[in-house]
Amino acid sequence: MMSKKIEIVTAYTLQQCSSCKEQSKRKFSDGDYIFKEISKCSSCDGQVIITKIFGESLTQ
Amino acid sequence: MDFSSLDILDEFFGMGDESNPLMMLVWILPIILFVFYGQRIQLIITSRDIKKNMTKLEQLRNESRDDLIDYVKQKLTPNDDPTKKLDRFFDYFTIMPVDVDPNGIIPKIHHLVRSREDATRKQIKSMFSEIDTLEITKVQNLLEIVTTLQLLHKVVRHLFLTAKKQNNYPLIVPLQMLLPFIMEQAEALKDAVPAFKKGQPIGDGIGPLVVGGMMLNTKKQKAEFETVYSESEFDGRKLILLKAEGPYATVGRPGEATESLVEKLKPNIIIMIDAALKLEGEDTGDVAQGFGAAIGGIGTDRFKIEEVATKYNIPVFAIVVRQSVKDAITLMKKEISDQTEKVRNQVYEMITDNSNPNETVLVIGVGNTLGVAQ
Repeated sequence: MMSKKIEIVTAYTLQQCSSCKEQSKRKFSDGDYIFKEISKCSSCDGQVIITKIFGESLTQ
Repeated sequence: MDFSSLDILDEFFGMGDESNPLMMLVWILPIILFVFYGQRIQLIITSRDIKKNMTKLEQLRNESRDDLIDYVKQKLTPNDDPTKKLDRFFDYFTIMPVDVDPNGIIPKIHHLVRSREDATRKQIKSMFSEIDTLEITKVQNLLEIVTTLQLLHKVVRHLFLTAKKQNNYPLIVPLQMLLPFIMEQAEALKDAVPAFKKGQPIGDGIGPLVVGGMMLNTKKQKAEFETVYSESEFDGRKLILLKAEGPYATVGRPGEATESLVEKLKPNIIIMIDAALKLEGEDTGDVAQGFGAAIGGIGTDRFKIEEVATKYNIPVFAIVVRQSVKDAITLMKKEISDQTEKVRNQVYEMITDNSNPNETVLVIGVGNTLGVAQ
């Protein structure tokens, strides 16, 4: 019998420092939106903003 | 001629010694059955399939309705129980203008759509003592999802019951053919609910995402209701960047905004970036270039942009990112999001290829800008 695959989509947020371009990826949290200013960069003190929010899927 | 040796029964019905009358019945009876009752049998088989899909459709409608009501009750602060009022909204209908004489129908449709939007917004606002723009737009979109699912369920049920009532198999055939497409759309709508509740960008937001990035560090001005623009410069050209105001769940008013910006700033070319439906076999995230106003919807915004572009003889270029119906209204896939830089580079290339220094270029990011600021 064919079993139906279940697709699980997880939302991720990609944030980047506008000065040193250092990127980090984390799970999406409520209130995130693209181009939101997050904090100061820990390595260069530049402004970190959210550059992408996307879904990655896993099929089981 | 001597016919005495011809045994008609034996020749035509196989009643000779070697044939078995029981075997004859085995193949004659189904033929008679199918000749007289074939359509009814098909109707029974098809009905079972349609009924199963109808139950699924009803389930999708109920789940998204409950999702919306729970969201309103738990995340927002309604003045009183919103269930009754929301249930009434789900049944709202729109009577399209008479199209026997189609001359002048676009302004009528435009007026109708805008009135409906304004009335819905007012009704939503009246349900809460305090609600911000983001939440209003989110509830508006969720309401649209439930209303569409309700309508799909009602139409399918109507066609099915009519065919059953009339015992009319041909009447059910178009429904059987359309049902897989209806179900695909319904499932996509149901899957869109979580993204709208959480305020996450959807696939349709690729246009606003590309233009929003170009608008960073520029002065944003109001172009129209829920629509913003800013001015920038690239390679000696003046850029006017236009998109819906994010991170709200809105497509803004690109038609009216383009009209006013073209009248005011007289651009030499217009570039539009939008999501477009992919054909089967095409990959999600494929980027394509073309000509003409890349904008979906009921057609009134496209009409306005085409009108004003024709009036001032402005060429309109388009860049689209291919995706399915589901991709367009659910959380933006990585394949789509990864095309942002590529599309932006193509926009800049298009600007240098099709305009001269000191000219003005209007770049429009078309689509729902939920979760995408500027």
